Amino acid sequence: MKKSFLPAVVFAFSLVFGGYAQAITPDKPEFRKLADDVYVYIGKVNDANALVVITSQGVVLIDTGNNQPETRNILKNIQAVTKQPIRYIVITQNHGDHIGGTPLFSPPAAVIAHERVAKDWKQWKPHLIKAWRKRFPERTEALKEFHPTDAVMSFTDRMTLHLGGKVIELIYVDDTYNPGDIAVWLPQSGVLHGGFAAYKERHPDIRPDYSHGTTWGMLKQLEAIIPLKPKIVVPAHGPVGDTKDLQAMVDYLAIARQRVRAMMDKGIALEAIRKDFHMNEYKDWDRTAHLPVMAAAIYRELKGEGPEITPSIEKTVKGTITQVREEGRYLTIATDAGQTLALRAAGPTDIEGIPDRSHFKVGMKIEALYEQQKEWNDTLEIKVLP
Amino acid sequence: MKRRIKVILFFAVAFLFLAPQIGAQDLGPGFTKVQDGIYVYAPDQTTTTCSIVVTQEGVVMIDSCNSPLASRNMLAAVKKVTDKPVVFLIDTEVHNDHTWNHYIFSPPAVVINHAGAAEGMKKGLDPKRAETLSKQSPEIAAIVKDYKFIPPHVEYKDRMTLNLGERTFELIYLKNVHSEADTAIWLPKERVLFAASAANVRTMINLRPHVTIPDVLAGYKLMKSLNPEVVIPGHGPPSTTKIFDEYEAFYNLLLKRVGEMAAQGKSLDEIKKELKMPEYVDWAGQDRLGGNIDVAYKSVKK
Repeated sequence: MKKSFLPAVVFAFSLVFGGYAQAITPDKPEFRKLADDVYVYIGKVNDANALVVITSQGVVLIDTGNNQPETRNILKNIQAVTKQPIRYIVITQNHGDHIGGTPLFSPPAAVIAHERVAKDWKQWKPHLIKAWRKRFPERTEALKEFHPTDAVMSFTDRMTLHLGGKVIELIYVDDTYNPGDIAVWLPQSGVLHGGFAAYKERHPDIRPDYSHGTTWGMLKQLEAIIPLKPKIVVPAHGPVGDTKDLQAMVDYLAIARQRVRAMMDKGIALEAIRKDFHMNEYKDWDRTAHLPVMAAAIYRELKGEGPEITPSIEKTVKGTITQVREEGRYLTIATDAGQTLALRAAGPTDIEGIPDRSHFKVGMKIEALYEQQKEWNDTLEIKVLP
Repeated sequence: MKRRIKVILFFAVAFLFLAPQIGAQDLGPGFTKVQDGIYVYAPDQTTTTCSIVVTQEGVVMIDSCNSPLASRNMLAAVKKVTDKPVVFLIDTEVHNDHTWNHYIFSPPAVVINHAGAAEGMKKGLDPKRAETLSKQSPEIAAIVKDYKFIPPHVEYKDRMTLNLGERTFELIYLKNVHSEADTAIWLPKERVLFAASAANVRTMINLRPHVTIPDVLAGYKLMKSLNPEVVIPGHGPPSTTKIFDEYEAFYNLLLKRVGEMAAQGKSLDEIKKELKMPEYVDWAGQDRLGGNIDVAYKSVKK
């Protein structure tokens, strides 16, 4: 195996992710019953969460797990509580740690997402589609001719599912820069999957490229979901909360925006704002590494600028893995050309010969197709080290 | 070896030309093949239309047909044209003649319509319909014994897109054109439009009190802007955008005449007694003219 040449499609991404200030969820995932026929899968160490609704007309799975082992674990947990098939996959945000498990279930499950997500999937480059098809080796045959959008229902405003007496409401809050994030509301049990906007005690990773929307968009979403008065709020990542946590995020965002605005009013330059921005009122919140990036995003928002566009070029690399971090999410490659390359093996990872990225090992030969930003980018941090 | 390849190629090409292509004539009277994989079942000018669109991932059905017997014919047609199941059933409206037979296709079909469709279906539900139909014949009774009320599983608001295999279905809400929830279905690649019962074929439409003629006209404008090649009405055989033109002319003339008479101080009752539409005397559904005048009167009085 060590001698095998592993072709992989890898999104190049983060050189220095910044680490997390503290882990809020335990180091083992938890599958917990929230209400009759409603379960939450809480990702380990703040990995992505998933919500499960069991109906007599099939299971609705909301988000699909942080990575392949998590997705398989979600499936195992669902099968332990019901014999119903998974018939619907609902996507709350268009990021690999939420969508990446989809090919384990669809087809035959139908995927439901906002129209902006479906449009993005339609524009995927061939290597992403190839990676999608091969993401779960046991599904390679079923997905041989299948395009990720071949069984997608998308909507522009709202959608409601009525399945075996269960009501599931999908809520999109329109905003120019909402990338298609939605909330999922279960009115009968008072459970809300609030998606990205519903973090509990976590600094949101709002980025200058607006790939997670904007703070203004988050405030609009919170304004729409707080009146539902959910008893239980499942966020995209991290521990389960309630309506109080949604209100706390509103206060947080208001302070963050005011702070950046005050610095801009004093004529402070962006680099200094990034450096000096703090949220000391929330010192015990998770992911302080997000703060400078969020400050830069708010700066753009307040200047009325659109998302930062960072053109990328497709590149290939051959080399040997010299470092593996976070179960293969971050790799350092000693390239055959004598350089060191930091790569993030994100959602659409195509690996031949091994089941998934958690099997990456130091010393393994690898061939990767990745997208390199043309310029250094703080959000999509990547560069070839000298 | 080369000879062997040539022989295989010959048989492969021959198979393509000789393989039986299912035509509408193979499906029975009332069926029209609009394009490859798109079949419309319209028994006559006025009966409810229902259709199927075959995709690589299963069949999408549009409305569940006028009667249990028609649904059974459609189900037989599905089996003739494909071995794939009906996976989605999209309603163009909520009335019984389009939705009552859901149970014949669902499960497994997932039923879709605009928000408000389930409420509308419940409102219009006749609890004795199954019993009444069963009395018509043992054949019908045999189908109806499995009847179950199936409201939509998916209700969207405003717009939705269904991607299934190689095809895309864009669902567009038509406000106040016919029932409590009306959906036009647009296949952009095929340029085929299912127009709901906003426009039928030379038939006066039963306009309910909530319908407004300006909304109906806005619906035509929207649907014409799609520039479809084929328009499939809620009732009657496939046509073109000429049905929108015909109905636009009809409603505009109706509004003009009602408006003029109202301006002369005539009451609604007087208008209903006196107003004639001789240009449309050959249209079906003449008994609905009074209801159309009611709705037009509301529009001109606004």
